[in-house]
Amino acid sequence: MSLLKITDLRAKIEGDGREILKGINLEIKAGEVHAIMGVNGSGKSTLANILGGKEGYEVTNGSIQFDGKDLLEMDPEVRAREGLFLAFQYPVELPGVLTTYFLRTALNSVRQHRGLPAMAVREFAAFVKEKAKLLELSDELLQRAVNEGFSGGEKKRNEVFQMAVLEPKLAILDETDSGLDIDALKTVAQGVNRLRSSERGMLVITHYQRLLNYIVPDVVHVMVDGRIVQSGGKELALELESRGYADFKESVSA
Amino acid sequence: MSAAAKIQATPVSTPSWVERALQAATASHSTLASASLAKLITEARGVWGKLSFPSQKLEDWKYTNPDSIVQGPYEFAMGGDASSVARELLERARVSNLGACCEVVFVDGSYCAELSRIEPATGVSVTRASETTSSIGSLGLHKEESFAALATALFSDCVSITVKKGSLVAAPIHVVHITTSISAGRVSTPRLRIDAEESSQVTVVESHVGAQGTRYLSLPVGEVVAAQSAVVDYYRIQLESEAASHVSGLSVEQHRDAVVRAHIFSFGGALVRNNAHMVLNGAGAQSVINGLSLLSDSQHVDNTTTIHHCEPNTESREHFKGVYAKESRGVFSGTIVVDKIAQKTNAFQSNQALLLSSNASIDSRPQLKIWADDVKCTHGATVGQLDADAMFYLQSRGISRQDARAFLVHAFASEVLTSVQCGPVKEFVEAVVSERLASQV
Repeated sequence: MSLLKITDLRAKIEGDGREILKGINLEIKAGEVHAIMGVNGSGKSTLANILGGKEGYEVTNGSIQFDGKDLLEMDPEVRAREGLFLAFQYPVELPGVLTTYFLRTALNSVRQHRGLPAMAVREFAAFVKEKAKLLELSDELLQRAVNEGFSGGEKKRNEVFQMAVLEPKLAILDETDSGLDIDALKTVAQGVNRLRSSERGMLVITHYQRLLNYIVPDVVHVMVDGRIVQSGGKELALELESRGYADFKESVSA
Repeated sequence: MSAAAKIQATPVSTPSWVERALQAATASHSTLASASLAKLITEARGVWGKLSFPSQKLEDWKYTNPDSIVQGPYEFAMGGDASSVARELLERARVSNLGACCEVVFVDGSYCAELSRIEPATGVSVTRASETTSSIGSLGLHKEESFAALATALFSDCVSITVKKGSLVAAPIHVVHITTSISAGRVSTPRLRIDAEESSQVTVVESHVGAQGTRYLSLPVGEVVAAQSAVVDYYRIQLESEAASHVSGLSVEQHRDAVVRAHIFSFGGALVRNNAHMVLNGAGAQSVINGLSLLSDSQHVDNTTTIHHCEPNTESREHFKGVYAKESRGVFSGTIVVDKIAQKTNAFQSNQALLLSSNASIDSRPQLKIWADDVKCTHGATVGQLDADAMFYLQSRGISRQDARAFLVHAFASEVLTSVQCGPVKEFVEAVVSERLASQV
C-alpha cells in the first residue's frame, strides 16, 4: 500500500506568481527509501516544506495522500501525529526551550493521537537514553536548549535523533547532508539506516550523491525546474554524479 | 525629570473625589499614635497640594494616560476586615512551598492581624508602623511623585520589617495585599518599609491580589533601605483585578556594598504604573531590577524606573521583558543617572517586548544621564513577534499551536526567571504565565 502519493502537484510561493512545483508525481510505499536529487532552486525544499505543512505556499493543483488521508487538509502538528516527520535542512535554535521537555511534549502529543498513554518522566528518560545512543548524542546535549549553540553536525544528528524518538511512518530528510563533514555524515547515515524498516518510508532530499553512498535508496528521482524528469534505481545517482545536472536540464527543455 | 520641573508644569486641578477622600482620611488619622507619622502625612498633603495629578504633558507621563484615575471617583475607607476575604483570594496569593517565616496580610489597604502570622525568625521584627515611631517616608518618595504624595496623604496602614545587624533570614517574609469586593469604588494605600541592617540578609515577597471584576484604585508604597553589606531580595507579584488601577511607588536606598535584587511581575490590572527608584548610595553597591509583564485585552502596564549611581564602583543590571497579547500596551521608561563622582560604574539596561498580536504595542524609552567619564553603561531595546520558523519547527514535531506558543513565551520569559533566586517564586510565576497563556491571552 502506498504511504505517500503525490499526484500532479503544482504550487507557488504565496503572493508570488511564479510556479515552483510544476506537476509532481511521486509514490512511496512502506519500506521504501526514495531519494530526490536536484540543484538548488529546483523545488526540492519547497516540496519538503509543503509536505511538512509550512505556511507561505499555495498549492494550485493536485493532491497528496498520506497513508490514505488527505495530507493537505491537516495542520502541521496533525501531520506529525499521523506519522510524518520532516528533518529540517536548517534546524531552528530554540533558546530557553529544554530539549528533553520539548521532546517529551512532542512524543506525548504523538502518542495521545495514536491512542497510547503518555510517557512519564522516568520512562521517557530511559527511552530517550536508548535513542540517543543510536546517534552517539551525549546526555549533555539533551540537557541544553533545543539546538542552541549546537554545531552543524550536532543539529543534524539531533534531527535524526528526534525522528528516532517519534518513530514516524514517513521521514523526509531535507538536505540532511549539507554542512556535514564525512565523519558526521557517516554517523547521521548510520542513525538513519538503523531506522529503516519494512513499515517505514523515507524520502531523502539531497543535492549530492555522496549521502546516497551511505543511505542507499531504492528509487532515485531527478528533479529539475519543479518537475521530476527521471526516476530509476540507485545507479541513477551515480550517473547523475558523472554526467551532471546539465544533461537533464537539456532533456527537459528539449 | 527633577521635582522642580514637575512643580512648574501646570497641575491637573484636584477632582472633588480626592477632596472627599482626604477628608475621610483626616478623620481616621486623628487617632494615630505616632507623631512622626502625623508629620509625614501633613508634609505629603502639602506636596500633593502643589503637585496634584500629573498631566500627560509631562515627559514622564507621555505614554500613560492617568485620566481614568483622575476622573475616579474613589472613596477612602479603612479596611482590615478578615471576614470579607474570600477563601479563593487567599488561595490565589499563596505561593506553594514558599516556607515563609511570617505572613503579613493587608486587607483592603489595612493590616489584618487575624489573617497574619507574625512569628518571624530571630533577628527580624515586624511591626505595624502606625503604632510606633518609625522612619517611614524617610526616602522622600512622597516629595517627588504625585501618586506617592497622594498615597501618603491618604495613609491607611504600614508594616515595617527590620532585619537586625548580621541576621541572615533564610525563610522569606510574605506580604500579601488583598483587595476584596468591598473595595469596589475605593482607594487603598498600603505601605511597606524594609530596613535591612548591616550585613543582614532577607527575602521579601509581596503579592497583590484583587477580587475579580472589582474596580478599585491601589496605591501601594514600598521603601527598602539596605545598609552596608546587606542583601535584600524583593519580589513583587501583581495579580490585581482586571478592572483595577494600580500605581505603585518603590524606593530603594543602598549603602556600601549592599546588594538589592528586585523583581517586578505584572499580570493584573487595567491601568498599571510602577515607579521604581533605586539609589546606590555607597561604593560597591549592586542593584538588580528585573521585570516581567504578561498582558492581554486592553491592559496597560507602565514600568518607569530610575537607577541613580551616586558613588564609585557601583553596578546595576536592569532587564524588563513584556509579553503583550490582544490590545494590551506596555511602556518601559528606564533612566540611569551616574553622578560625576561615581566613576567605574557599570550599568546595563535592556528592555525586550514580545507582541502576540498586531494590535498590541510597546513604548520603550531608555535615558542615560552620565556625568562621570570612566563608566560602562549599555542599554538596548528589542521588539519582536513569535518567530514563525520556530513555531513551525515545534508544530512539525506534533506540538499544538497553543503549546508551541507557550513554549516560546516561556523561553522568552526564562531570561528574567533564571535570575530569580527563590525557587517557589519562580515556580509560581511560571504557573501564572502558563495559566494566562492557556486562558485569556
